[in-house]
Amino acid sequence: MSPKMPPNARQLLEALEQQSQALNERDQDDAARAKLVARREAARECLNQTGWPTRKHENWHYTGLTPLFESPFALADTPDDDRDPAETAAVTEAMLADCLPPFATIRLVFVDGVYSDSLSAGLDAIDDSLSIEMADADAIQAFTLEDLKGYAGVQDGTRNAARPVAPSDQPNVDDVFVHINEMLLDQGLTIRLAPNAVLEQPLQILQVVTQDRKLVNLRTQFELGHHAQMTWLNQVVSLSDQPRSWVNRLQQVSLGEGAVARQLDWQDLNAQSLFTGLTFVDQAAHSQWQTHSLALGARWSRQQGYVCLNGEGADAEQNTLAWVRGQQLTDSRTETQHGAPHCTSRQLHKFVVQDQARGVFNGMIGVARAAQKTDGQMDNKNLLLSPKAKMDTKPQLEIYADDVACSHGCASGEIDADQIFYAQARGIQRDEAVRMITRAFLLEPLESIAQSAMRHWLHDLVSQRLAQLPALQYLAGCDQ
Amino acid sequence: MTDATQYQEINDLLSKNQHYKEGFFTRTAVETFEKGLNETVVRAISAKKNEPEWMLDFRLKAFEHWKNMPEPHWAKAEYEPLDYQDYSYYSAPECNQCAVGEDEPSEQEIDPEVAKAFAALGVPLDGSGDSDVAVDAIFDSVSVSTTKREELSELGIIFCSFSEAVHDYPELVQQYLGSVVPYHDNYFAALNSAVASDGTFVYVPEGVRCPVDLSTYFRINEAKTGQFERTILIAEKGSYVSYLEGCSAPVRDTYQLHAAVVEVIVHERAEVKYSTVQNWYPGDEDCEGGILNFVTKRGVCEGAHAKLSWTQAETGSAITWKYPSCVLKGDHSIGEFYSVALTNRRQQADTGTKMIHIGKNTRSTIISKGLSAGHSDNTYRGLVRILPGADNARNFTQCDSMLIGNQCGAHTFPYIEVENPSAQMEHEATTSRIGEDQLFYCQQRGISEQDAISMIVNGFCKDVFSELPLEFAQEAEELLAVSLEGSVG
Repeated sequence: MSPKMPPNARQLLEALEQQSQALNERDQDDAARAKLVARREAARECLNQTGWPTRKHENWHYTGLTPLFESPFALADTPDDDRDPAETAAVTEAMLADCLPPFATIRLVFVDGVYSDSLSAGLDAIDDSLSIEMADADAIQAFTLEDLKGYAGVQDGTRNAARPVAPSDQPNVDDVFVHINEMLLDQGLTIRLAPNAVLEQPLQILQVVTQDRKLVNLRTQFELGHHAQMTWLNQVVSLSDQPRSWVNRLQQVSLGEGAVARQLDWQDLNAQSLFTGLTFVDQAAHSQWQTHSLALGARWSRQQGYVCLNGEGADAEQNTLAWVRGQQLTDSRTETQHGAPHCTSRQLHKFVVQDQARGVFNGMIGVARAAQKTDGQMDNKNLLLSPKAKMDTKPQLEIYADDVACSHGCASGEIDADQIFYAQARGIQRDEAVRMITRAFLLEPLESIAQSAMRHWLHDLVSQRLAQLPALQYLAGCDQ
Repeated sequence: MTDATQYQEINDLLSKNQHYKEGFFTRTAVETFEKGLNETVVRAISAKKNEPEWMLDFRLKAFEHWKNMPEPHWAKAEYEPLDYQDYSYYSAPECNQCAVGEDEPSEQEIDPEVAKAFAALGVPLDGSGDSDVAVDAIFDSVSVSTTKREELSELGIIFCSFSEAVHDYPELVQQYLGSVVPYHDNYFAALNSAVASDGTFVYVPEGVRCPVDLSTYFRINEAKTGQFERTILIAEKGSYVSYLEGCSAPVRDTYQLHAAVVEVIVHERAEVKYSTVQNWYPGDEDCEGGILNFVTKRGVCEGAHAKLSWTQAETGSAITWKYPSCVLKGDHSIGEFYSVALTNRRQQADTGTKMIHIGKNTRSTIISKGLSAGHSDNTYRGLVRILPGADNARNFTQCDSMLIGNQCGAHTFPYIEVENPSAQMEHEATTSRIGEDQLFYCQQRGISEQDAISMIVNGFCKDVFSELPLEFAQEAEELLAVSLEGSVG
C-alpha cells in the first residue's frame, strides 16, 4: 500500500525500486552479500510505505521535489570489464584542472561513482595508519545505519514525539533519500584513520559525473580513531553543461575521542543536475568537527548535516556558502544535537540569491537535558540581489537544559545603498562595487579555514566565479 | 459563615491549588446543553440566541466544513485527541439568560452569584466606579453585562456583546464576520464559527479616539463546557482604541476547551492596541485538568498608515495554541507583537505571531519573551512573510527565552520567508537562565530569593510589560510572581 503520488513521481519511485531488485537478484547467490540484500529489501519496504514527501511535511515545506520528477533516472552504468572509467567517459586530467588545488593531496577520483586509477594521484603518501576500502562486500555491509548512534529522528514529527529529547541508542533514520541510498547501496568507500595518526596531506575525493539521466548513489564512511586528525575535500562536479545527473550521497562520520576532522564540501554540478546529500556526524568527547559547504551548482540541491555531540567537550563548526542563481533551488539544513555537557557548536550560513532562484535554510540546535553548559550559536545571513529572488529560512532552537548559552541570528536583505555610494564616491563603478560587496559577504565563512593554502585556493575559486556576476539590473534604493 | 460550609469542597480543592486564586466556582442556576455536538446542537445554539438566518447559515457552513477537517497536532504540545462529544456547547446563567432576546436587557437582572464572582475577580460590573475602563463580562456562553455603553454611544462607539451586535448591527456584522478569519481557516476557527457562544463587538467610527480602555473579561464556570467567543473589532479611518482582555476559570480536574476567534480590522490611519492577560486555569502538578486554549487572533491593516499592536501576557492554560497575527495590507502600515509567555508545572505553550507584509513600506516588530519553569514546555513559533510587492518592508524580531529549573524546555521555531530584496529583516533569539551571581547580588542585599527571581524576571519582561496599559501591567507582574511561586527550590 503505497501512498498517492503523481504519475511521474510514481514512475521514478518504481524505476528506482526495480534497480534495487535487479541488484538483489544479482547478489542473491553471493553469501558474502546476504546482509546487504536484506537491507536493500528493508529500505525498499520503508520507501514503499512513506513514498515521496510532499510540501505538507514540515521538512519539505519550502522544497518541492518536482524537479526530481522531470525525467526518470537510472543507476549510472559501470564499465563491464576492468577498464578505467576515465577511458569510457573520456575524462582527462586536463579537464579536471579547475578542481585540483595547488597543494599536494591524496587524490581519489571517481567517474560516475567508479574509481579511476589513472586520474587518481598522490597515493604514495598513504601510510599504514590510513586505510581506504572500496567496493568490498564486508566494508559495505559494515555501513550500517545503526552506527548513527545518537541520531533521533530525521523526519518531521518523529522527533517531536520523543520527549524529553535525549540521544537514544536507537537510530531513527527516516528520510526518503537515506532509504534510496540504502536501497541502491552497492559501492562504498570506507576510510579509517588509526588512533593518534595525523594525516598531513588532505584527502581529496573528487566525484565526476558524466552520464545523462543517471543517478550516482554514493556512500562514504569515515572513522577516525581517538586523537587522529585529518582533512578531506569532497568534490562533486560535472564537467559540462550537458548531462542531467542526480547525485545522492550519504556520509557517515564517526569521530573518536579527541579526534579532529575538517571537511570541505564542494558541490558544483551543472544547472540541470540534482544533488541530495546527507552527512551524519557522531562525535565522542573532545572531538572537533569542522565543515565548510560550498553550494555553487545544481538545478536543485538539498544538503543536510546532522551532528550529534555525544561526548563531553566536543566542538562542531558548520558553515555554508551558497550562491544561488538562475532557476536554482538550494536547500541547506543542519541539525545539531547537543547530547553531552560542555559542547560548543558554531554555525555561519551565507546565501547570495539572485535571478529567480530560491534559497532555503533550516537549522536546528537541540539541547538535551544532560547537555548543561552548552554553547550553541547559529547565524544565517542572506543577500537578495533581484526582485524575484526568494529566501526561506527557519532557524530553530529546542532546549531542555537550563544552563546554556544558545542563540541564533538571521537577517535577509539587499545590499545597503550606503555601501554602494561609499564605493562609488571613491571612483569604483557601481557594478564593481556590487561585486566587491557580494564577494566580501559570501567569502566570510571561509575565514575560519585554518590551512592558509586551502583558504586562498577557495577564495580565488569563488572570487573568479563571482567575477562573472552579471551587472545587476535592479537594486532598490539606488535606481539609476 | 454559611458560605464557608457551602463552599467547603471548593475550598479543599483550592487549598491544593493555592497558586490559582481565581480557581473558585460559582454556584448558580444555569442552563446547560447536553454534551455532544451535531447539527441539532448548532441549530439550537442559534435558536437560543434568536439569531437571523444568515448567522445560522454561517454556523452550518462552518460545521459542515469542520466535520471533514483533521484535528491539528503539529503544535509542540502533547495532548490526546479531544472528544468533542464530551463537551457541552452552551451554558448560561438562567436568570440572565431570560434577559437575552428581550427588548431591554437591564443590569439589575444579573444573577447575584455571577455578579459576586466578577466582583471577586476584581471586575467592576456596575460601571459606577471611577475606573477608566468599560467592561463586557462574559460568563460561560453569554455576555452578562456591558458597562459604560451610553457614554460610548455618545461618541458613536459601539461596544456590546456579539449576540447583541448580530441583532442590532447586522450589516456591520455581516460585512466583517469571517472577513479576516474565514470559517474554513483552521480546525478551531471552523469549530468556533459553528458554535460561537458570545463575544465582544467593537466599532469605532471615523476619527474617534476612544476615551476609555475597552475590556472584556471571560469566565468559564461550568465543568465540561467549551467557550467559543467571537470578537470583532473595527477601527474606522483615523480612530484609536485600546482593548483589553482577561480571563480565568475554576479549578477542574478535566480539560476544558476554549477556542476563540478574534478579528480586528484597522482602516487607514487608525490604531488598535489589543492587550491580553490570559490566566486560564493551568491544571495541577500532575497535568490534570486545565484549559486548552486554542485561539485564532488575526488583524488586518486595511488602509495606509494603519497600526495594530498585540500585547499579551500568557500565564495560564494547560495548553496554549495561539498566534495573534497582522496582515499588513495598507502601505506604511505597522504591526507589533509583544508577548510574555510563562509556563510552569506541566503547561505547554506554543505561541507566537505571524506578520504578513503585503503593502509597501510596512513595518513589524516582534518581541517575545518566553519563560519556562517546572516541567513545562514553552515554544515560540512565528512567521514573517514578505511578499513580492512589499517594497522596503522592515521586520525586527527578538525572541528571548529563559529557563528556570532544569526540567523544562524552551524552543524557538521562526519561519522567515522573504520574496522582496528591498525588504530588511532581522531575527535574533537567545536562551539564558537566571544567573547565580544575579541572585547572589540580590540576596546579599537582603532580598529573598523569591523576590529576587521575581525582580529579575520582571526585568527580563520589561520590554513587553511597558506596552501593557497600566492596570494590566501591574496585574501581569503580580501574575508572573504568583505563577512562579515554588518553581525554584
